[in-house]
Amino acid sequence: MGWSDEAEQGFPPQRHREPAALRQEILDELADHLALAAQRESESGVEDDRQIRARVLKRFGNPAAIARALWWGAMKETLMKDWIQISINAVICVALVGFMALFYRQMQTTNTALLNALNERPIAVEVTLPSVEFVFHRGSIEGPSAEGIEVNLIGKAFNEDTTTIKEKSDGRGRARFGPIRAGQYMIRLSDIQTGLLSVKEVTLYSNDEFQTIHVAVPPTTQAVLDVKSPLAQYDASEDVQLSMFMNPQWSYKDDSWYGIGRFVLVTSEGVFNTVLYLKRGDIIRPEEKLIQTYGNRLRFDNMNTHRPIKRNQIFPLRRGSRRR
Amino acid sequence: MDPKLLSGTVDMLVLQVVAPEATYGYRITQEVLKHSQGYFQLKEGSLYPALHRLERESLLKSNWVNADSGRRRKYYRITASGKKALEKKRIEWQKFSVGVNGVLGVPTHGLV
Repeated sequence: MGWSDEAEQGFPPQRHREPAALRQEILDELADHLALAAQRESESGVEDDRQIRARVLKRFGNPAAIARALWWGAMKETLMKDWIQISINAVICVALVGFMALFYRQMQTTNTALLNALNERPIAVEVTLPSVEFVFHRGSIEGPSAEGIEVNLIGKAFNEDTTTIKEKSDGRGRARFGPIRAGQYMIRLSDIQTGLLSVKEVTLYSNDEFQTIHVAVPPTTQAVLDVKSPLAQYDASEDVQLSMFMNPQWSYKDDSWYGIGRFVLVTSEGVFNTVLYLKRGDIIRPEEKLIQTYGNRLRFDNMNTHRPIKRNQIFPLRRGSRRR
Repeated sequence: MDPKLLSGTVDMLVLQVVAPEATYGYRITQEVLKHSQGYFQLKEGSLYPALHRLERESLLKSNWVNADSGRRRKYYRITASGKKALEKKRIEWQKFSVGVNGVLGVPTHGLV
């Protein structure tokens, strides 16, 4: 085995950033030194090669160990940089994995909490379902109970589709709904007696308990309607036809309903219009103008201004007192 | 001699031997041995690591020469920084030896 082969055994495996000529230069330098040492031993009179070799190595030391020390000295800085870089990368990886694990655990906790909340939600809604009762009063809140009011509760429970529930007020004016889901609702009222059709918004919250909502509906006024006949010279022995159109528009103010209606007389002489301003308990009269223009007086006793008078309804005209 | 006494002076001895002219490892050991009257025997296990370290510290420079034997031979020569470092080490050594001799009662002549 030559000097180079012996020294080469001391090298560690090749590293990726190792200079290409490093190992060969170390081997060449050591081999030259050992060869010179052997030559000197030979010149000093030692003839046996094995003895020469033994004497050289005794003085020189282990060539492999020296070669490894020189290689390490040359590569130490590079290897330390590599190790530092690897250590930093490892720390970053560990931190990243730790962060991911922490994030995953936090996400799991959040998801579990959300699922629990979702699972508990229907129970909570059922517990807090409100009931609502509408109490209808004729004319004002203090008025008598209004029976027969048809109520449509049209609404949308929170996060659900729109539904419609129908009820009719009983003899005490009460229409009860529920239990129903909390949400935004609207009530639509339909009063057969007055022809009322109105809409009102109601919000029912989940924490609300039983609610009673009082609602005033227009009065069904019993009124005496004195009408001056539009006939200037009325002397017919037979009844004449008189048509009356009543279509009041009601508004609620100061706990009372007010209506503005249109009153039309249709006779053989022509069609006559006037406007009526109605209030609860009023005696309903046509305008003065009509009275002044036409002297004859027609009287409708105990007329319900809303219910009996319908569009294009025909009333028999009774003969009244004639004035000139 | 005690190797511990030599270990702190290897750099200085190497720089001193290389300073006059470029030379190589084997010859350095022989020069040190000759000038110390056979007292200093530089071990190769100390010499070559010292040579390579002084080269990395830019106190020495090296080049390869093809020798008559057909082998490559690595020659070292001192740099300007090496000369300054050698001068500094020499002064330190003189102070050190004066101090040690003073303590030991050994007379010194011509040393600072």
